[in-house]
Amino acid sequence: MTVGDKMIVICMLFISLTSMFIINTFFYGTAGTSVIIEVNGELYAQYNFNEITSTKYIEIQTQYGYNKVEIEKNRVRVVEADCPDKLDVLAGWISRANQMIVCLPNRMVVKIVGKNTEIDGVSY
Amino acid sequence: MKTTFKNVYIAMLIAIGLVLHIIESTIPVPISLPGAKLGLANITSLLTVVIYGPITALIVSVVRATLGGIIAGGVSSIPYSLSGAVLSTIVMWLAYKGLYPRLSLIGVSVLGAAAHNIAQLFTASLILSNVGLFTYLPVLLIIGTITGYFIGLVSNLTVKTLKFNIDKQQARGRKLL
Repeated sequence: MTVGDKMIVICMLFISLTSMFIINTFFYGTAGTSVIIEVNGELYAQYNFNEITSTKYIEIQTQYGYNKVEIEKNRVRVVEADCPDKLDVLAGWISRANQMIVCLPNRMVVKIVGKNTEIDGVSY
Repeated sequence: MKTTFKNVYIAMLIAIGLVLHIIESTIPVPISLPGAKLGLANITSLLTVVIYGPITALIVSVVRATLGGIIAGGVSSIPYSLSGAVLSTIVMWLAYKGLYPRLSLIGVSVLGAAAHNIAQLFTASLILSNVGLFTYLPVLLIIGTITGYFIGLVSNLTVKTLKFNIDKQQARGRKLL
């Protein structure tokens, strides 16, 4: 392993850990207000967390495939999928604004939108 | 007749890459890390870059990614593995050509892994028309750096033996390169 190798490995790890921290702190908010389901880049359905009283199941059957999404009061997950690797099911619950679950083979995206942070504004 | 040995070598590299691609897809990933993989088949692309140069390496990786997608990953995965294979081969060739004595194959392989991740996410965000996918890039880069390190380690060791064998064959008057 040469000096150049070490520099590249350290740079890559530094860049990715820093940007991971930045995304986690500033891009993901605390709580979302609604769930958006997109298929092939187009809006498929939108649900407001305020209107969810009991656990809700949504079945998404499109030409790309089948997914079943479970929505609770403030979180959402994919429970069933017909894609080969089931990575979207493994992803588990998401609850923070701007987080998303993606099923690439079925071209489906489940994402949460809402305010970015709990703090509305800071003044000095 | 002169190029027959070369053709056989290229066919073997594709076959080895294909087998590694299929083996890799049968290894289960216990946690949800879409797009994270060992990149075993990248060993063949890297070796081809070193031995035969960019054009042959592109042929090897494109054929391997297409056939691997049909056999192991499903047809819907072909755009992702194809774009990743092409960009990582180009980046690895540039890194090897420009920086080789200063970088060993480990550095070349890590850069190739990063290029692979970026190309795959770019293709995915084009298909889903969703730029937000790039928030996932840091996770992929960390895994890519770790696996790229080991792939580079393997390639470093393999290239020595392979070059020795090729030199021996050429000393017998067979044209391999």
